[in-house]
Amino acid sequence: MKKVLLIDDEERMLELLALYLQPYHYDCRKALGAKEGLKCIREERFDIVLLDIMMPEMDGWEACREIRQYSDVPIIMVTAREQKEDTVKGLKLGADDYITKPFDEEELIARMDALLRRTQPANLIEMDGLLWDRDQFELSYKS
Amino acid sequence: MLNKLSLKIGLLFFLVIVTVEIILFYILYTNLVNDRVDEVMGDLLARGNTHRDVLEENYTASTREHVAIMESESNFIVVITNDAGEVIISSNPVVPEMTTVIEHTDHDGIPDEGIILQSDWPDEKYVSTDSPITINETHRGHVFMFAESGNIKRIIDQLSQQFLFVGLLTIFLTIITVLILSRVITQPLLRMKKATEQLSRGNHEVELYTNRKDELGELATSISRLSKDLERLKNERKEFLGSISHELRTPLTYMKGYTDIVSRKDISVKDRNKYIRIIQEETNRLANLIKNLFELAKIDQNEFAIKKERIMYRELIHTVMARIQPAIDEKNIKFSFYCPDNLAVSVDPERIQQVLLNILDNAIKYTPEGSNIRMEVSQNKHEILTTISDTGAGIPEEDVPYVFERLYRSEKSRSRLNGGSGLGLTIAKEIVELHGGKIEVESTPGKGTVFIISLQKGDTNEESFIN
Repeated sequence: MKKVLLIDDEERMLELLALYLQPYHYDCRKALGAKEGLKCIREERFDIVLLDIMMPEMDGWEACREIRQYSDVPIIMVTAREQKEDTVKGLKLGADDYITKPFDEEELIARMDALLRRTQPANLIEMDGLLWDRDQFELSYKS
Repeated sequence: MLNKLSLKIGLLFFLVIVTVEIILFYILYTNLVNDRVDEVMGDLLARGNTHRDVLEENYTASTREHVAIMESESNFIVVITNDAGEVIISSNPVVPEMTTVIEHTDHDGIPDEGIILQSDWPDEKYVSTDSPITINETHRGHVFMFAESGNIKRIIDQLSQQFLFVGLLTIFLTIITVLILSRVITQPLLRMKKATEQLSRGNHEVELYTNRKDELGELATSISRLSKDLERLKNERKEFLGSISHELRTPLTYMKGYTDIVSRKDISVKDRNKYIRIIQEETNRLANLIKNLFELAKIDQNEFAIKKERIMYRELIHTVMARIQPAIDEKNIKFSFYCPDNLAVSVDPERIQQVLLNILDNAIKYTPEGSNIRMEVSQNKHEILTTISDTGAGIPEEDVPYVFERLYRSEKSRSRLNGGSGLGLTIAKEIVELHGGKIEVESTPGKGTVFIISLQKGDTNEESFIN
């Protein structure tokens, strides 16, 4: 079960993302606003972060810069602004990918999977549902 | 000198300066020539007078011979005649030109100090003077002095050559001066032209001579101010497009997203109804936003007509109150209002209702449950003031100047769910301004916000269109 952190300033959007991810066995953690999101990242380890850009108080770009100071967790920017400058700015600040609103279920899942595939830690070996974690000395089957 | 302006300035300078120089040189030259000729003629006359004086003292043949011998070695020719006008003696052979001069002289009318007979050096071969010899008040003859005109010509030629040389030198110096001058004047202009070309290509970092104190400095200041305005407008436009994209896409995302979820098979009826309500809300929000955007676009394109009517302000406020009553009741807000009876205003009732609705809407949205909203109408000599005050959270000081800007939401309350479209106050302001009035806002964080609408009184125009 992959752990996903959803950061947005609107309850509805968090709910919607969680509903989208529900059938794909993601463990969703919702953070209302950038401040709360940053707190979550400091406290827990996540496999992937979905970060909204347009948020009051602290926007997604600032949050992204902040996250990159202490974590290299994969970040997907969720943005309603699709101007080139905005996406480039996000990627330069350390985001790994971006997806524009309104997004498509399949595209969202595909992008998340692709990003997770690329950032799979080297110390994890998975084969036929059998997972070997060298750091934790842990062998698990179809977690 | 490749560009037009410096060529024009240069040519103009050159022509003016050369004309002045030619006039000055001409005056100087003619004066000098006349002086020289006068000097030569004076010398000639003085020489003749000296000979005459000697002869008057001692009028003998030997003296006359002596005089003739003296002049035979000089550049001058002396001719002495007797009282009958016949030549007694001359230093050089008398040529026909001299004879003509001697014969044509009226012997009696010549004053004692002598006269210049012929000074027309350019045309005559000789210039000449005449000094009459008078001994014991008896006329005894004349001393004629001749000098070849060629001598004067030589002097004048020398002078002309010097003038030509100095003239050419002056023109050369003038050309250099003009080149430097036109360069000095046009150089900053050229740089400014290049700078503005850079500006129009979108490079706003160019340097202009704004520290000059003259007109060019002022021009540079205006240009850089324009450039800053342009840049600000560009950024504003970009920001506006970005915001508009966000405002439109967010409700669309919900509509699409929750529709996707609703069409899943495995959800409960309760959830389904909840999601459908969200879809409805977001659809309304989007429709409202688009309506407002069109309204603003119409104002921007000057298609927004204000049809003024004379109406009772109290009635208009009653209509507005009826429309906001449900929202007031829902939030349990204490609403009070005061409006003098029989106060007639000349406004477009639809539009002013919209203004009041937008502002009240805003007040209701940002005021917590159970607080107060008060609307008060007062008038002075020229204006009707409508004050709408609430006891809400207020607007942070740094946000106050921007509340009327498009899609601006105070940072803390930016969240779409409490907020409106972000266009309501902008539209209110535009409408009030189309009526020739103004709208102001004062806010104390924690205490509340006051909006003041002032409309001009006694407007006789029944209908006005913006153009």
